[in-house]
Amino acid sequence: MRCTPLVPLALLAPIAAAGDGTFAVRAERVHVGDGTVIENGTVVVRDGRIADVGEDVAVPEGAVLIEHEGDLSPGLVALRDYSGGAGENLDSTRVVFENAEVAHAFDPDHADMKRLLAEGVTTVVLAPASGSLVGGLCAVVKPGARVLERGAMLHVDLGSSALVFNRHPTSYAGALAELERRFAAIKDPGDPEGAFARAARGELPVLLEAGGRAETQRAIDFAVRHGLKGVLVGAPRAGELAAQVKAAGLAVAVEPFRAGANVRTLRSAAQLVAAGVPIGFALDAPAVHPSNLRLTAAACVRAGLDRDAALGALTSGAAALAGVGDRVGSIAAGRDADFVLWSGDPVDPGSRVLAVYVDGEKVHEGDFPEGDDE
Amino acid sequence: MHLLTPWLTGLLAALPGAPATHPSRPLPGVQDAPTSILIRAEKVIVRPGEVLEDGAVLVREGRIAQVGLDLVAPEGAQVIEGKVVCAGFIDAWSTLGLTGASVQVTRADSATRSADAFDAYGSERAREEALRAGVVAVRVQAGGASAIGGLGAVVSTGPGTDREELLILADANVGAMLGLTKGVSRRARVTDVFDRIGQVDKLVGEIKDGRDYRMDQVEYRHELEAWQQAMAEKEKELEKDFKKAKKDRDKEIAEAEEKDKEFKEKKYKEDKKPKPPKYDLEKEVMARVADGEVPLVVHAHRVAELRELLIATREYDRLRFVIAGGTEALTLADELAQRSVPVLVWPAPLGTSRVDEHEGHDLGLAGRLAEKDVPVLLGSAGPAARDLPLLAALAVGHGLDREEAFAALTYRAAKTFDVADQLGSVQRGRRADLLVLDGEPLVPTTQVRYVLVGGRVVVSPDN
Repeated sequence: MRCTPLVPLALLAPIAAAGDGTFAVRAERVHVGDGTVIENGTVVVRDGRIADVGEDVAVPEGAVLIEHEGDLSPGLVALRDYSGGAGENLDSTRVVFENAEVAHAFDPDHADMKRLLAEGVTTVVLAPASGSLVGGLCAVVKPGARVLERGAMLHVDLGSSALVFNRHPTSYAGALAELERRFAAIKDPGDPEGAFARAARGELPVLLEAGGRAETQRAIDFAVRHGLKGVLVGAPRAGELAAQVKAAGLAVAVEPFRAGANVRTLRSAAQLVAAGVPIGFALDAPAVHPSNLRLTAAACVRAGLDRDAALGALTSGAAALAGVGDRVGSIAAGRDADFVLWSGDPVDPGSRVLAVYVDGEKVHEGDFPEGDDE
Repeated sequence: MHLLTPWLTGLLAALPGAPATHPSRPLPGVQDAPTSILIRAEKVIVRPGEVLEDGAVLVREGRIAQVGLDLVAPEGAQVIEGKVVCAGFIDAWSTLGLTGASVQVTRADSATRSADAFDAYGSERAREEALRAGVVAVRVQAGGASAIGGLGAVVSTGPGTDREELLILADANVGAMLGLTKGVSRRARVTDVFDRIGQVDKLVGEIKDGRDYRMDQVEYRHELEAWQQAMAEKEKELEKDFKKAKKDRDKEIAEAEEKDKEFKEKKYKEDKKPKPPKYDLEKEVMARVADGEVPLVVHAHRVAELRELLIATREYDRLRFVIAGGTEALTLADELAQRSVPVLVWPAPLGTSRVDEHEGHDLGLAGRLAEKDVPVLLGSAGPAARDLPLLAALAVGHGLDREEAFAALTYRAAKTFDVADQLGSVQRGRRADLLVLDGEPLVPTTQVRYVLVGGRVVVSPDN
């Protein structure tokens, strides 16, 4: 399958930018992001947003129509990422730095951003680099474009990566004691607008890092104790604790796929979905290639995760967990026109990214050998 | 150094270059398998690009007995119905079942056998997971951090712990590396380009030594033959008549005197029995490499050493080699294609924090090489053979034809490593290492419903 637009793709960007910037894309399959698929669907884009979507949508007069032989999906959303951070996202001298805004480390033109876009990743949650107990406030950003949310989530690390041998805390017990002290401090005399206070009221979601099963258990208990809402990230065996995760009202950002990963880790996503826990996927670029996001989804599908659930976790589900579900992650009227044109099913790592649009502008075009029919 | 005299060249050419075929031997677990199994499928992928619609495969005594359209199930045969039947996948680059120490050893040599390092007990779980993903065999390579890592082996991922039964081919290749830093101790690390080219010279020197060694052997065999013949003639002569021999000698002396020539005593050949060349295990192996009996897998990434390797090996026209890694191989695609040198690609989603030789790692490499007609192989380059199908799909998603990826995992891998008479295709006489899928191969939503190893069902919807 090849992308065969009525006008050459290269000409499209200037045309789309001209006038009122209205254009339309008709794809063989439009994946809305919530599991529904519109066969031969048309997406109308105006002023960087999706104006209309459906099977029988009229293409506005004068608008360019791109015919795409293949699939269209929302741009992918990654729940933990470090792209473009390059050391700007870690304050290594402080263990707890709850008001540090990772948004300041965002460099839209960093080479990492182009790599994300080339794999169809159009929204990421930038997290502080690991090594802190509380690294600061995560930012939701659009690679190559802008910050969507500055203080989106409070990053709290209850995993071993927060424990460093030569500074406090060096143990899980010490880490928890330190965190307990911080949360106790909000009550008296209190800083009602501080990050910990807002997190304890459930207003500021947390991105809660945890490693193995014991760490995950600890993180769940901690969240319940302090009324925290948000996303457990990493937690490779959260699936085995799915009922508790569900009861705590938490979601899970599934750990990035690694060759040779434990089968129990790979099954976790399916177990969580079966228990009704919302999931998304962590990415961790640039330490891994951004294609690993799709590979993670595919590995989970192979281990039993429902394909539609996997696509949801890559798009609308993750966007909702990042708190930007009303703006990105779905192909629906009013949402940002962030979408990807694929050669086939977006969940299949064998499908190719043929074009990527952010805010209605083409930001990437695939470059593949000619003469094959993938 | 010996000159290539015509008879020597002739003899050299007469040496077996083609891989020896393996005599049939019982396959693991055959004894408790049903006598025969008939698999019917909408699509039998006989070999890449060769499909039989609504075909069937008859498996008997661990091997493929028949492939055809209207096969009738023999009495008592188990019948399996499926959508797609194809050969099991082969991970052409694996360390499954090898300990870290075996993989990272820096002082292996050409005679080191990966088969000896293979742990049939410790690898049981990894093999089972590989089987469930459709990977039925792996080429394991120890000594990855050594200049020459030794003999790689093709091993079945089938059940059981009998190493001999799992071993499909103990000498599938000889492994070597150029300019690696990953896994190589800091002291042994070579990053300077001149040193890397020095490594190429050393490697090609080993190949040359192997070739010389074989020539010495051939020459020795020839001399020995001549000596034996001379001995036989002499013995015959002596047998005939001792007196006559004495008379002849006297006559020769007289004739010499008459002609005023010095009489030359006949020399007895037994004084000069040719000596065999000193036996050298390493050179024995490199001789087989030089002669193309065993392929050489060179793990190298950068264009400097790859180019040097191509130039330095041009005169070895019997040599068969494979580039593993090949991050910058695209620059040399024309020569690789022309000489049919396969590139064994590791399509892993590597991030930016990576070692030197992976700088420029590109998931599009396999596709771009294939586009230039370079034969592409795919491997997991680690113990996770289970994940090779996913990595292969990733290569497809970055430009490789799905058909090419399938070929890389089946027939081409089998052919490159001389196990095509056992694995890699659904043809009569091959091991019945087969997959029954509910959709197209290498698509993650496709489920592997049955896996047969040696004609035995080892994965089924019931287990």
